[in-house]
Amino acid sequence: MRIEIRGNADFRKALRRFAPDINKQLQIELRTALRPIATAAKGFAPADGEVLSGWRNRSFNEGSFPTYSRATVVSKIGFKTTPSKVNSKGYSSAVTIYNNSRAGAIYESAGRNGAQGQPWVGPKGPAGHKYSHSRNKKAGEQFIASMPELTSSLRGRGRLIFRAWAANQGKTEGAVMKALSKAEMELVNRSKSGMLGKAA
Amino acid sequence: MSNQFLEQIVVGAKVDTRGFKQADTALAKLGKTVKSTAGAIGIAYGASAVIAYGKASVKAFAADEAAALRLSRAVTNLGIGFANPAIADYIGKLEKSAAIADDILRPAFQSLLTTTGSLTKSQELLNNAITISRGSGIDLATVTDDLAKGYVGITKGLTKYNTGLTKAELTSKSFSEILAVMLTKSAGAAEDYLGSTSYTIDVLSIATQNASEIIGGGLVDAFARIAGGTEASDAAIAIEGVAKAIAFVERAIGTTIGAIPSLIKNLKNLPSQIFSGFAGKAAGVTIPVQSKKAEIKLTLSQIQQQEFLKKLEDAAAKRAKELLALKNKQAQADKLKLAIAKANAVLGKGNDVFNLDAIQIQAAMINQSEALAKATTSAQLLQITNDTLRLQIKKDILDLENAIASGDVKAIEAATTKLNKDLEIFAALQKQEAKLSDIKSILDLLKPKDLINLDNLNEALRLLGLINLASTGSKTTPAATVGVAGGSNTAGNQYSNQVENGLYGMQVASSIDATNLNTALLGGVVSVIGSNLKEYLAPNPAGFGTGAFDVNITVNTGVGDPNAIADAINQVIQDAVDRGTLRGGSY
Repeated sequence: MRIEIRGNADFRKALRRFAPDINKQLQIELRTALRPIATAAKGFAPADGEVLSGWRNRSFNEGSFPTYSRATVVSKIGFKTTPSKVNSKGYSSAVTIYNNSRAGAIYESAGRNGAQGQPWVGPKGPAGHKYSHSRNKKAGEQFIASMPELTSSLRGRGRLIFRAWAANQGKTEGAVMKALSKAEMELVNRSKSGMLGKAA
Repeated sequence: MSNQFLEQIVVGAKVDTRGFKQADTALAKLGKTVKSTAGAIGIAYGASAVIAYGKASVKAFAADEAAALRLSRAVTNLGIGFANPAIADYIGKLEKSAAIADDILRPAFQSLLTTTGSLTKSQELLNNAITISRGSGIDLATVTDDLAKGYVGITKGLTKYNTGLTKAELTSKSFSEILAVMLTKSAGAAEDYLGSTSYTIDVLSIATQNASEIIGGGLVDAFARIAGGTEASDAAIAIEGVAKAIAFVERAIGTTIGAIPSLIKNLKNLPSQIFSGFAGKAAGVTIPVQSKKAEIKLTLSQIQQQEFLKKLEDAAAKRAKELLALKNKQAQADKLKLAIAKANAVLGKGNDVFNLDAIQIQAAMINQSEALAKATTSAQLLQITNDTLRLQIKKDILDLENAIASGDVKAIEAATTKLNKDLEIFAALQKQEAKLSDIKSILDLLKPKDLINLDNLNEALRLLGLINLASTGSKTTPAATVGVAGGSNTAGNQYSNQVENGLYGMQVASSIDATNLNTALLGGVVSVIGSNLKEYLAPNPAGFGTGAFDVNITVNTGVGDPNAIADAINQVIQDAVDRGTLRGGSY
């Protein structure tokens, strides 16, 4: 019987079912490759006292704009070694490094669309998350200026995971791809040699 | 929230096409199958093209075949089935020259052919229809339908072509006249179209349609690559050529495949059918195998075909003549109907004006006209004229009714004109604005012609007098009995001033003087009873009776009730007032 494997999900499924040891080894290698990125990214998150006072966490947050909490930001930075869902263009990823908190995402991406921030419309301006409703016309500019410069990487610009990715200089990506390739080759070899066995 | 990454870096992304796997496999299989067939003619089919072939080609071919069969049947029913190839050739050439698909031309030609019954007329009308269609922008099917209807006299549909003709004109004019107008307005449109981009596109479109009809519309893209030309006409030729080639190959394949089951079936019957020849040969006996008889087809000679066509054309021409005669007859009937309707309208108008009671009353007044003539006022004359005109209108109405009954159009029109004229005069009089001079002219118009010519009568009397002189030997010229030429005043009862007015003898009562003269000549006494119950006589030469006279009414009632007598007198006077015969008096 001929089995055709297409995409990451099929590959991992095949590994789990026919070569669980390879799958286990792959997981270890992926974690080893990705952990430095996550750790470095967490290290780039500023302390609570290093951000603007108005953005700091407080006991009662009356606004919808998320306050900054280093603990929260750090806890939401991580990686995932399982394949993602297929996107609308038909692609899925093998592994993912994420920065999954709202405040962390703000810190990561603030200033990508310009140092001036979002267009200012004031408190009585039109609603929407694409406008600044602050009383301070330069609130966005000052907010961005208070943060370190965005770091450019081959995957995008940012201050946490993208900075870490840039600092890593492709070592992680190489390690991940090598691990995936190795697992694929091993699976194919076993398939050819008839050594594949169904997992218990 | 755990799976919705706000910021992420993905690694090892791969395309995952599991969803397309099934379709991909199907396409690959289909493509492989088609490629094996198309490889023979060097065309790389796409799977979608082959699918389209299955649908479009069958549908297009079925529609085309049905239209061709319908036309063929129509031609056969006309008795000229032999002309089918010529008609197909004509349609094919027209399709290329006019860039109109045969799917459209066939039904159009069929409708014209069945309507006119003439091949030449149908071809002529179809060409005209194409010109009109190009000129008006209306589709050919509609134009041919309208022309076919117009040919048999139904011109309602021709109004949409903005010919400038009225509805009445469309009805009254002949079809050829209307068609000439339409062609004049559409002249040059077909030639202009031939030079347009639209024509080029249509040429290519028709060629593509033809290709679809032969092997399917899904191969158009492939043909474009094969043609490789830049001109639309070249591409069209290439498309059709390739299409026919493909159809031939497919047909051959189909024949081969279709032959296999037949072969298997026949093999079962081999001993009884085919091996008889072998068996005979083995036995040394020749068993003749009957060859299949050739199908005999009856064909008409050229002369016979010409005869049939001539017969058809003659029948069509006869039919056209009948239609024309029918149309003329209808036009005559419509004209008569229109005249009668017009006359009826006038008749109704006349009846509205005519009042029998009024006529009766006014007739009585006419009898008194001579008496009234003495009290000469223009109002009285106007009244007399009105009454006379009413009578004349009544006479006109009767004349018109008689004319309608006779069905004579000219008589109806003449009577209608006369009635209209009198009604106009009457209307003028009703407005009370008529002048005396007008009334005079009206009376002159109304006076009877040559019934009693007084001049002639006087002349006759004068001649009689001469004859009398001659017979008696008298030398005295007798004076005119009535009227005196030369101003003689011998007539004792004639007013001297009438001679000065140029009135001689009996006159038509067209003026006060004439009325007075007539009264005097007739020896009558014209009197008017005044408000004081005194009678005033007209003056006479003897100077008698010019004053007022008392009027005495003697009532012979005998002895009776005085009140009853008074009531009777009162009733008589009241009746006279009611009748209008008593004027101005008190009672």
